[in-house]
Amino acid sequence: MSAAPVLEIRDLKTWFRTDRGVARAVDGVSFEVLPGETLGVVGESGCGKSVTALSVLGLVPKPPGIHAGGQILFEGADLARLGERELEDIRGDRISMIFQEPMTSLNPVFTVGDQIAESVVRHRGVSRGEAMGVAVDMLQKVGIPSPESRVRDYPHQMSGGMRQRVMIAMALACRPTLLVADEPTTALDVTIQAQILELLAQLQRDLHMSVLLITHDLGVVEEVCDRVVVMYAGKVVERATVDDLFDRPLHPYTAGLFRSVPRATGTRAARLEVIPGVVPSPLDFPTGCRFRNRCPAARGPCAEGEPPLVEGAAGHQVACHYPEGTR
Amino acid sequence: MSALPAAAPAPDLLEVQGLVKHFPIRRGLLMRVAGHVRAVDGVSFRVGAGETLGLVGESGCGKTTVGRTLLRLIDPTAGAALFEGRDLFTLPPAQMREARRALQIIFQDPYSSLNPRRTVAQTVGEALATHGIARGSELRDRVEKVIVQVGLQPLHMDRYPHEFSGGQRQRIGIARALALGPRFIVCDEAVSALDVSIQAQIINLLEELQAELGLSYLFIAHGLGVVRHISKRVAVMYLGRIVEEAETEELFRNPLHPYTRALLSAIPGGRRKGAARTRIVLPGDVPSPIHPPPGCHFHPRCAYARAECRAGPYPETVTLRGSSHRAACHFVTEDGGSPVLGDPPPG
Repeated sequence: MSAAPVLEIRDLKTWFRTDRGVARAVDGVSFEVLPGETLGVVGESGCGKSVTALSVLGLVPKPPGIHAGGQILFEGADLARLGERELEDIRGDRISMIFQEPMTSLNPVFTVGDQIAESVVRHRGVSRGEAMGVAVDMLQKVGIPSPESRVRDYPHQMSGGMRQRVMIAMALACRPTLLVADEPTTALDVTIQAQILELLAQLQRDLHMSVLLITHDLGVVEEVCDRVVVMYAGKVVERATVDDLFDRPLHPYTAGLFRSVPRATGTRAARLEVIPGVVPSPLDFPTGCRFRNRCPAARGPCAEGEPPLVEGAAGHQVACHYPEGTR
Repeated sequence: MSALPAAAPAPDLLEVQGLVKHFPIRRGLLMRVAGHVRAVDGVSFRVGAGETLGLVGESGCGKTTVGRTLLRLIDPTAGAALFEGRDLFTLPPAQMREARRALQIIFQDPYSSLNPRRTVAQTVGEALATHGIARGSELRDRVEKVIVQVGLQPLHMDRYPHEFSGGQRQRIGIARALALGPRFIVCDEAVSALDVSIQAQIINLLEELQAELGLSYLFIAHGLGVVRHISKRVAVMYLGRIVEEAETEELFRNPLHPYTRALLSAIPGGRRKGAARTRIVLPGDVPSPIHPPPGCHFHPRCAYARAECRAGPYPETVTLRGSSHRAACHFVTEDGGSPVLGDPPPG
């Protein structure tokens, strides 16, 4: 894995001004996405994973958002420093995105063909006729039956699974280098989710594209990701390959998450282990380690310095003074 | 409807027989009935005292409608629901009010199901006051007792819902359901909206309350891991019918209906990228419950479907000999034979 990363995020800070102070939603996040890989960013509500994705896409509304520091390096440019026009040139072309709820991301008054063709015309400068041809090809690629006629359908004429396929067709029409997928299957039923995950994996291989997958679902992460970043309270707490993370989690938060998920396979736990308490507010993080109030391993030093992200094992980083297995 | 096994494990608290709910679709100026959504189309099951029955299925399968008809939040089209021997669907209003004390529901979204202008004490105590069970300081004492029972503190009683986190709000929803001392609670996606660390807290709370108070749950959910953890038995619904039901571990280990098997295999997790694919990916979407497919409703997506599945009557439910495992598929036999156990499906 010596190839240069497609995307490199360095110490990114995206904050929000609120009436009650500054919410440090993303507070010093670093990771990279390598060519052709799927990197998962996983965490619970409010951990900053979606804001990280929106920051990469330049879609954080400012105000109230503030770019409080750090770089987002993509193809030699720092996206955090680009203007809206330059970002529009990149978005939908070399970086594309899909979101959780396709209905709110599709325009109800245009046909799906128009919406796919729009970005092809915008970024490729081809005629509308040619772009509609691309739209039909894309609908076929994402497995929509009789694409020549469905291209004239409106979003409401399609099921949720079909709409998510259309979203994927739109996102991939210009063959992006990087796809940012924010909870792409969360709103779907499990059998439809299986279809969409399979489709994404196949398209990723065909197009040799990198995927930044934002999700709360550890099962999805385990199945589709190559490497994983675990976020908690605006910080990266652990970063590893999927095998290392699932076989030997080092951060007490990651380990606690794994133990609190009821599994559909394997042995059934008599009682679920619990992470006590709740996620801290981004307006008021604890001093030192942000997880310490909920952590079974916390000791004196945890209240003092914020633990840096360091190599806990080969290729496996953790931000904890007392990682699992060292106590 | 099938013959259920004679040896039920616990005395039945609730027995639902042939439950049907068709919602009329009205169209045009005169609002003529143009068709029906066959949300629930002949569902039968039993829930024993102190037991949890999981009811799973995908969007539109009718599982939520089943839960709501039991509480008469929706009136059923046909069928019976015997609760401690009395049919909830034919009880006169006064007796139904009485029965409601024993039957409660917890909803998915604790925020939208709590009145933002009422304090926790008011929300939790409302039913006690309405039923004339307690008032004044006695009411407050009883409310405090359930508040503590669900893991909140007495100081929370005079606060409003917006002051609580999602997990705490779900505890308030549980306290409200517990206030009247119910014996049966419908949990309708009760933990689905919660983050996993909070979800585990609420699941444990529901289990503790069950052990302590002898509650029965109908646990309606789409999250199969959660259902497996909490349920003694699981029933799988597809397009308004139960396609399979069994003891939880039996169902997860040995699914006989092709739909159950595909549903279980679709759950993500436990496999890594590049591992051999054993997943069954079902083609297509769930058909509309307005025009369910003829024959077996599952046949358009079933890899094992043959001519008799595509036409003719809906398959009879077969119960395995010496077991309570039942499935509605033409090719499931009393000996535990199933199409999913044979050769891989054609194509």
